[in-house]
Amino acid sequence: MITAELPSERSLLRYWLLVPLAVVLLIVLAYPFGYSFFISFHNYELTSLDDIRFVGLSNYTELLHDDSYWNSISNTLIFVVGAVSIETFLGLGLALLIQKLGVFRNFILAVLLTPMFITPIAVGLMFRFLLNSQMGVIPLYLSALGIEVDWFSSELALLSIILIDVWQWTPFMLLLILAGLESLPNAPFEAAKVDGATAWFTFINVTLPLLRPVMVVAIIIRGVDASKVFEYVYAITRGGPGDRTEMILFHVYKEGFRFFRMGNAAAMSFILVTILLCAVFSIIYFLKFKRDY
Amino acid sequence: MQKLGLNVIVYSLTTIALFYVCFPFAWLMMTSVKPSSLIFRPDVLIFTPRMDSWIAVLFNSGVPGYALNSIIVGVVTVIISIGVGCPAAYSFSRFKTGGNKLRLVILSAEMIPPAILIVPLFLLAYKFRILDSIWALIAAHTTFIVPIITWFLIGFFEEVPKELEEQAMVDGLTRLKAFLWVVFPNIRPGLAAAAVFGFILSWNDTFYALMLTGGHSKTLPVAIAGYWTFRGVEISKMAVAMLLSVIPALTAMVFVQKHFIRGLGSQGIKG
Amino acid sequence: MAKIVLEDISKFFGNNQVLKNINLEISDSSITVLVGPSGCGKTTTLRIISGLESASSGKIFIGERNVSRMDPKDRNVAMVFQNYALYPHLNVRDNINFGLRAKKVKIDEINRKVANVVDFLGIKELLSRYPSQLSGGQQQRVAIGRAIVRNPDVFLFDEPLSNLDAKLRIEMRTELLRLHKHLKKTAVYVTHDQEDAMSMGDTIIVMQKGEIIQMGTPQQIYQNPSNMFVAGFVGSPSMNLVKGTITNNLFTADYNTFSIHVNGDYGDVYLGIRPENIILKHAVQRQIVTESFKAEVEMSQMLGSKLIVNLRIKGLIIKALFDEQYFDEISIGNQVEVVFDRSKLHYFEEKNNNRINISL
Repeated sequence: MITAELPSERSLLRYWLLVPLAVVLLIVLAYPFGYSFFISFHNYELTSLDDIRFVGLSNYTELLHDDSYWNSISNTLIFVVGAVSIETFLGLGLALLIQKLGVFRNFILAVLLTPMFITPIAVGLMFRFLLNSQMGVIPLYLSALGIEVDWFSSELALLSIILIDVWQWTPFMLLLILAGLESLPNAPFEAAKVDGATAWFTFINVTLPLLRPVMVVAIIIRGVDASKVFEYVYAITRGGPGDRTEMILFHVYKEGFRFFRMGNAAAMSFILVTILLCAVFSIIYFLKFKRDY
Repeated sequence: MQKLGLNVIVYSLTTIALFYVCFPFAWLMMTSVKPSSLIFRPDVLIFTPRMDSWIAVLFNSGVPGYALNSIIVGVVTVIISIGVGCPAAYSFSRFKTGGNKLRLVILSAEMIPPAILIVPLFLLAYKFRILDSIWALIAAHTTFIVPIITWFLIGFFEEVPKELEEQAMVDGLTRLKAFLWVVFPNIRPGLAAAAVFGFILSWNDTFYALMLTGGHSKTLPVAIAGYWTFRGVEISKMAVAMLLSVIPALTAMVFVQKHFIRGLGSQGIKG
Repeated sequence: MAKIVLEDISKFFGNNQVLKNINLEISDSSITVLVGPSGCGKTTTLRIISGLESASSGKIFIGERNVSRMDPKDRNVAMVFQNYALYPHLNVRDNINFGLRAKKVKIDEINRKVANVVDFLGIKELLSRYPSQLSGGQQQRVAIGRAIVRNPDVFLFDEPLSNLDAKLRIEMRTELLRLHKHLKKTAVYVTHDQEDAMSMGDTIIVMQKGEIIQMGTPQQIYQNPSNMFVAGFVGSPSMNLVKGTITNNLFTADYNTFSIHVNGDYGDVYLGIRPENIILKHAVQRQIVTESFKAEVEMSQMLGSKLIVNLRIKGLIIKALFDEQYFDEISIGNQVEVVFDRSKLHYFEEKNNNRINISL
């Protein structure tokens, strides 16, 4: 039911209330967004500011052939898929676990949630030293067990970054999924008990389907967030070894702030946004086709 | 008997999870008090703690100043967000302005990668001479914190039945008074949680801070990164700075947790 | 098909004892109704029978089996919840066959059983719909279908009629009774509505504050309530209860409003008389009646073909039920003369509210 304004109020009060929000977002979001779009069609280099030329789509077309760009996109993609799937899996498991806890539940939950509140750059640097082959504590203990691992080698660097993200952000998935679990209605579960379903059958056929909307939202939010990964790369690998861990944001940073090629940087980020939007919309669209209750 | 077995599994898994989470913290704390000669000796666990790094960071460095910058940026951003978000959220919740679509658009604003905005924000800050000042950073932070706080506020407003204000308005209050006296008190705890969350988001941001600040306007995350100098890394001091940056987040979280779960839960399902 | 026995069942929620030593036996294939005000423990008892709650002490037997320690899924009972508890994400067909799928029954058999059930309940066209697309009555049928298809030993119904409007309620009562005739299984209902209880049960169990007050057929409960609570709870409009004393073969209502001859000397008591057993003196046919009293008509309400009348006898107001043919003489302010049907008088001790057996 849609409320209406009172007789004494301006009939468009509802829109007037939006004005502050609109103003702020216009200034800090819309304008820069538009400006960025504008720049992406120009050859805008901070090192030669008097030589800004309109180049049409050439920034974009250049990118389509730029291997390092596509490498960073694929790295980011691998990272997002890897990290989010592990986090969803662990988050779900932990949420179920928490539900079964009795006495210390709140305390344990509080402790388990702490990683996501640390500033990511601190987390990155922390793991950088924990996993360092020469002086890190973890490789030390692992070699005592006979396992020799170089966490930041060519083969493992991307995986290590994924695992760091998992350490920090699984709590986020845990939080969202737990919230979802707690808000599920009790009745179908009691009915399932009486109907004779085992715990596993109930989990697969009642819990998971009912949890689906929450999981989708959680995955989308976490996925989009994960694609913005920057701090871990900056703190530890700077994109290396080689360009094995160069993620898209880092690539843009390099382009714009190391090489000062703003136009290219802008174009890169727009392609990224397009990809993101497509991904998000296709996930939502695809899921709308499944039963919406 | 079954119950016992289940409990054992649950608690041992939980212990593993706890260990997994606490281990890095323990390392941080240990590192912050390790004498510098032992830093590169990870095998040494027993030693006499030295507070040198703590003293250096707390009293002899710019870190407290940078922390202050972080605080200011966070507080101002949150204030702006709430100031702007409240009327908007009220409009979305009570008048259903724009339907579900507009609300999703607001949320999607949060999803914009910083990459898109950093370039123009940087250039604009340069033009308006506010580069290396907290204002540029505040502007950048509002881009993602305003939408999130507005989103949360919508959820909180929806939890207060509009019949309450309608009753108040029938009883003689103006809409504004009804809002202040009836709706607002009911959302206070949730609002506090959202404010804290927004503050933490701002506190933790590194990307914008790196690009838009640099000198005395540095924020804490940038300062932490700064310990990685060309001379090598001053790990112990960095550990101290990291622990400092963790404190507000942890304290906040203790208070915020409950409301968070409720707010997220209801939004998650509707989302 | 099985009988149910509850032996010394007690239940605590924290320090609160909600069931106090419940002992009951429900015979095979009967319909038993647990009825009482909210908080009396009836739903808890039902849930304990189902296994969703476990008793703090005592034993439960279904048929010959001691199911006290068994999970619901092993007890072979079916339950229809008050809000139907359908699986919102499954269509009607999958809702009904859920239990069968859980037990890994073969597909052909599942389909056959489901087909039988939906035919019987008349919900065949609804098979591919989802709960959110069904009306309340339809949802209830689906819930019942889900229960029937498993062929359980016992059916449990938690407030099945409470969510329905008045008309639908009466329809559903007949439906449920018909269902029972066909299925011939043991059924236990829980309701707070005494009318539902009286119209549906073979056996009524009246509960209050965690105890069974009286158990019997509807007639027994209605005509011979063992206790003032039962007397006042069952019957609508409810029984008039008048405080007074019986000394020297005379019942005198408090404040001397009226007196009746009765055998015995019982001290402080309550007199109970149902509205329909108060008769206009001139309308007495062959009942054995008490002395007559003059009363003033204070208020009257029409209920179909009857009139509910508030009569004032000196300072006391009692409710009577008269046939509408007397409408003319029952106008407000009129004086009428009434008598009580002696065989329908009940007396209850004041100190424990229990019935006193007094011979006519």
